[in-house]
Amino acid sequence: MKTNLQNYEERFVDYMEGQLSPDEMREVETFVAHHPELEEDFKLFAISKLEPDPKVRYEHKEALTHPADKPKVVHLFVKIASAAAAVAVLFGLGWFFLHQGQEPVVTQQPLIANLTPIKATALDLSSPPQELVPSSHKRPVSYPTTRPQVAKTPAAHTTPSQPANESPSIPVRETVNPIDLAQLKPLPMHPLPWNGSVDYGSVENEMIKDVETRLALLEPYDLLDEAGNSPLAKGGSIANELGQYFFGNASRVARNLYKQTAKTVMTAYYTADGYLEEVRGER
Amino acid sequence: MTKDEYNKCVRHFSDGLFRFVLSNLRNRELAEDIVQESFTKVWERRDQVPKEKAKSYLYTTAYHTMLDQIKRKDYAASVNDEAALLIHEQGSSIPYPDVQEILHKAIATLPKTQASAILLRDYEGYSYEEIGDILGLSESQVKVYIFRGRTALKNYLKSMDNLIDTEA
Repeated sequence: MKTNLQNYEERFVDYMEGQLSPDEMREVETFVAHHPELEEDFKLFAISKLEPDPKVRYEHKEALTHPADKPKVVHLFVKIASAAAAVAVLFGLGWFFLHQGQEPVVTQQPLIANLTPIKATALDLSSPPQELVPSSHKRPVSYPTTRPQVAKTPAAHTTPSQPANESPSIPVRETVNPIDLAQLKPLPMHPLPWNGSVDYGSVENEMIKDVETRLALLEPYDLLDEAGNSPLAKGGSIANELGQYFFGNASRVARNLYKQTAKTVMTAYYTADGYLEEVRGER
Repeated sequence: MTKDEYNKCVRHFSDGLFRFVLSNLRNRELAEDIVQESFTKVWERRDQVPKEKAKSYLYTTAYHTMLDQIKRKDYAASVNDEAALLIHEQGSSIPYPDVQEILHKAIATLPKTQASAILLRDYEGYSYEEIGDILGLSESQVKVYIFRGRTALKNYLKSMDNLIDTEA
């Protein structure tokens, strides 16, 4: 198509729009050179191209955007709380069975050989029986009304005022209930026996395993302290609090409670173990 | 289109879209409303809009929203005021106004299809085919609209040139 006086505007627009080939562009330039009266139009078309002003900006971008989804992060708290929750379940189950009052099942296991029990208690059968278990504390253990025949007062534990062969740093229980070991039957203290396969994936893994192992070896008559309360029941109570704090996201308190619970159970174990060793030695 | 892709659209396209609408209407407040409405529609339909089509969808939405606004009487009044202001400036305050300033004032007086076609061509570098997709026109129709628009702009520049020559 040749440029002429009828189509020159269209050709000029095509020229400035870049729609023409190089030959066509030269043809248009030649036409303009032959028609100087149209040169002004040609130049005006050439500059009739709008350029955006970069200073003109939309100022409300933030109002249009939507916050991106946050990546999921597993906090250390979750790991610690997981470990604490595992212990809470363990203690909670123990507390549950302790208060069940059901017929105990004999599942006694041997104690760990290399434990070093704390000699914290002494058996004094000369005193009359005392009620160590609160009436509200239902336990399937009956206490004899008569003096038991199986235990006799050893020379080493004559009276509370003469605590011979006892470590002075460890307090000696002045009165101890007479226990007929023949009538004692262990409670099912294996609500969650540890078989070595549990992995909590936390920094406190080894501690939890250790506590679980020792819990599995606890026997029912290990569970009373001097006041007649059950440390394990106390552990269960703490475990309940632990759960509440766990769901309240109080990680530091939960961690402390976890440690406190573990400490309570470990103390109960060592105390009861030493007590039992002493009683058995006297038999 | 994901949320992240939508947010990128806001960051990358909102300025250009705002200039496109503002150059058409020469009404900043109205242009901001149209940009906001366009992005809101894209957000609501982001599941149906692939990210590759997001920009053209935005311009299509803005173009139709703009046409709806133009039908309203209050907008017609604001355009008339703008035109009056333009005539006033031509005769007095700006003896040698910048060519781009004249062109931007002139483009606002063109029919919106012509103005939009030229703005999409000059601002965004769209091809005739892409402009046709956005404005709902055939490629040959786009060529006609651009030709008419360029001719109008040329004539506007020519009239301004004659006016300046006369004053000088």
